[in-house]
Amino acid sequence: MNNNKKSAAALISEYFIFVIFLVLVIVLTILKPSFITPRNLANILKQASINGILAFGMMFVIISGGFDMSVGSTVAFTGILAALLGRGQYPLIVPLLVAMAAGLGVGILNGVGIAIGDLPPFIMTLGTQTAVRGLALLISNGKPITGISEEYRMVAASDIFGIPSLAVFLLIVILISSFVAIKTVYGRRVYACGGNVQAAKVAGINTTFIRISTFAIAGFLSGLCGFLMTSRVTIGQPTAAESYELDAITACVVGGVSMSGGVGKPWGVVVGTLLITVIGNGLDILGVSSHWQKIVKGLIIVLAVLMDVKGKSKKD
Amino acid sequence: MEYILDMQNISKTFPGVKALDNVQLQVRPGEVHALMGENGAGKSTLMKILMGIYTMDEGGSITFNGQPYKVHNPKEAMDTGIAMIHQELNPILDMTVYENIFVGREIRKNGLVDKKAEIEEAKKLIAECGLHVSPTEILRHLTVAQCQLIEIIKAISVNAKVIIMDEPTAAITDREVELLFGHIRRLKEKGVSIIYISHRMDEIFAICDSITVYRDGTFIGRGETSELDEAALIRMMVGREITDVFPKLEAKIGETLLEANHITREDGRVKDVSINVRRGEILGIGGLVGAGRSELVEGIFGMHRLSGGEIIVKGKKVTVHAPKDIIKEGVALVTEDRKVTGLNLTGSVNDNISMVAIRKTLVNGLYSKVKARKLSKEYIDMLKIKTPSGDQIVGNLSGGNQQKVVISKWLLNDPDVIIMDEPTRGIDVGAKRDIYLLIGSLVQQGKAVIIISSEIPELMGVCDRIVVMAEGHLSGELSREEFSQESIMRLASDIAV
Repeated sequence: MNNNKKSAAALISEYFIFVIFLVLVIVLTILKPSFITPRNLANILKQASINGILAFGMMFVIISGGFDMSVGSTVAFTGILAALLGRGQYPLIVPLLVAMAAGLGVGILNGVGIAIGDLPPFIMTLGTQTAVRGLALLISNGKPITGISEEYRMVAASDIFGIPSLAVFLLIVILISSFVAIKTVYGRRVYACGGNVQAAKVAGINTTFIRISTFAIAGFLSGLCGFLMTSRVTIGQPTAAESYELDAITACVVGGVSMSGGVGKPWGVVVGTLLITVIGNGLDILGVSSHWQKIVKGLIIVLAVLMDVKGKSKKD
Repeated sequence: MEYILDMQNISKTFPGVKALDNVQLQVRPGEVHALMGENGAGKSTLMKILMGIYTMDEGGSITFNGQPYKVHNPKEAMDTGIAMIHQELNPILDMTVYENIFVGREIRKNGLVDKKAEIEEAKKLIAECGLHVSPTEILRHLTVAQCQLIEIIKAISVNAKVIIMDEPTAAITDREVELLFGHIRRLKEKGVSIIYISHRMDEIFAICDSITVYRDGTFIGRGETSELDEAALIRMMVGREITDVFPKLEAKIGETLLEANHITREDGRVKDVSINVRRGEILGIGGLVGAGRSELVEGIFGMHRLSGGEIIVKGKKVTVHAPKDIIKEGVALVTEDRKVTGLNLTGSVNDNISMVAIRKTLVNGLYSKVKARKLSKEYIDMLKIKTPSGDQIVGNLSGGNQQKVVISKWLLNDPDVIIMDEPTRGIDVGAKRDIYLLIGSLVQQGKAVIIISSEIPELMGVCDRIVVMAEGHLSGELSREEFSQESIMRLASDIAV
């Protein structure tokens, strides 16, 4: 009997964010009917895509019990690489693969430092955040990289059946990540690792590998984002993507991924990403200043974590 | 092949400590073998060597199933045929029952997790174990006992030839112990051997075929259970006679120090319970696990909100919103789970002992490390806490010594009433006796003590009076002359209709 009560409470906190999201959409539609036009919706998807892809990388890291502060810098760094290689001198696949490989490299470095070097995730990724940003400035000489090819530009500018192609990338990442998280043995072990690393180890799971791999996924997806970002803004900007890691973390946390690890559902991250984008977009079209947007975003993070904590303490 | 597992000349040296000195262990196929010894005797170290968590020193040999045995991690040990149920529970609380059972060896279909098959298989295992939980329930929603049984199911389902059970009954009820024993007997019939580590004598004699005893990292002896009795076993473990398991010191009983009337908790887990304890008296609270005993004292102590009742300390009515309100009045609570609510495990012994009475360590209003060290030294000596120094990290001490640190922390605050929730859980015979003697000397000094215990002989041995709880209410009270196992059990199972 007691159990039922608990799961009811858990259920409410689980879908709370989804309800908030729906309410927000309805309110915005009433206030500003132009919000719901196909054009604006397409725009929202486009705005959501880069943060969404980063959030899914972040999801694996946080569920496994980690934390990654370096993804924003990695986006900028790999974006520069993609811009340098994407001026038409090579087929487009080259900048894409190089960007993803570079991102993967940063991720593995993070993972090794944390899982083998036993450094706290915050410290390790703060280090790479700073150093990789420096690397981006170094190879670009501190200046934007211009002159990417028309073909490269069209990656982000085109759409497929009216859906912005950026959103298609996001969709693919969502599908693959969700599948991996929910259906595969690997996914299950990521959860086990974050839930209780000691237990996972005793159960014979190679926790070192799992932890390194989640950072590698985050890095790899950051590389993809770097490639897409350059296409979208048409230049490689060494100072781009500042604090993107915080937006990705926000999307996860708002979507119910627990910062203590072991808990989180992919659909929650989707809702978290959309919620944050819709708040930004909605406040934009209502003409609210971007300063206010920050305040609202801050409140939402705290509120979401509060729900998370309260939901858990219900067990007592 | 006489022995399925034969460990010879095993030593393990840690920096500065020789944890195991040339010990041996032999286990026959299909027997339950008890590994006994006080905390710090080296049992856990040996088991960790067996599971590949520690590497033994040069010179030892392990033969398993007729083959030389060498593993580097728990996974290899399990694959070879040795599984372990750890003393420190290892559940993943946010995962479901079936996910916990199959963690690390998921059932696969086409390379993916076969959730359906796992749930089916889990359901079967749970039913065999006589447990009534859904395989898809989250572990966070289960009781400690249920979680422990899940751990046992997990180990059994590996199909090991040898299963190590380290204190498997520490948190489960008698009925569940019976179920566990039923399981152990079935495993024996299948030829599985069990290495059984426990401090509970009755269990050792009920289920084990043979016994190995260690003391301070050395091998003391091996024998058949049928040829040993409790006294002999205790003598082997502690190296001296303990004639009196429950020493009781005489104390003069005086006026009432703590009175809690009509205590009712907001969450309904305690209903209209009144207790009192007098100067020089030891009051026991008996009952089954889940009867509301811990909930009652936590309610009195301000850890949970009450919806009714009054608390009177030394004749003065006290309003308790938080533990600090009642600590101020001279009441202390040694909580049930020392690792969660009793200790700062990463702090030193000194830090922990001065946690409550931090004011006593002040010099000119500032914390004085020198004074803290001096104060804690007094208690380390008085309670015979086995630690290299007061600067030792508490997490590195054995269970019995950790418990003594918790008690010291409260004694430094000089309380009049000390409530102890399962003060001897998971600690060995010698340390238990130390704690009983300590309790005796506390009441001799004119303090009052309340003890919650699930071990009826313990309550009967040390208490002056016992109240029994069942399903959140008080089901009866017994004076020392009325004590008997039957009367306490009858009151404990007094289920309200």
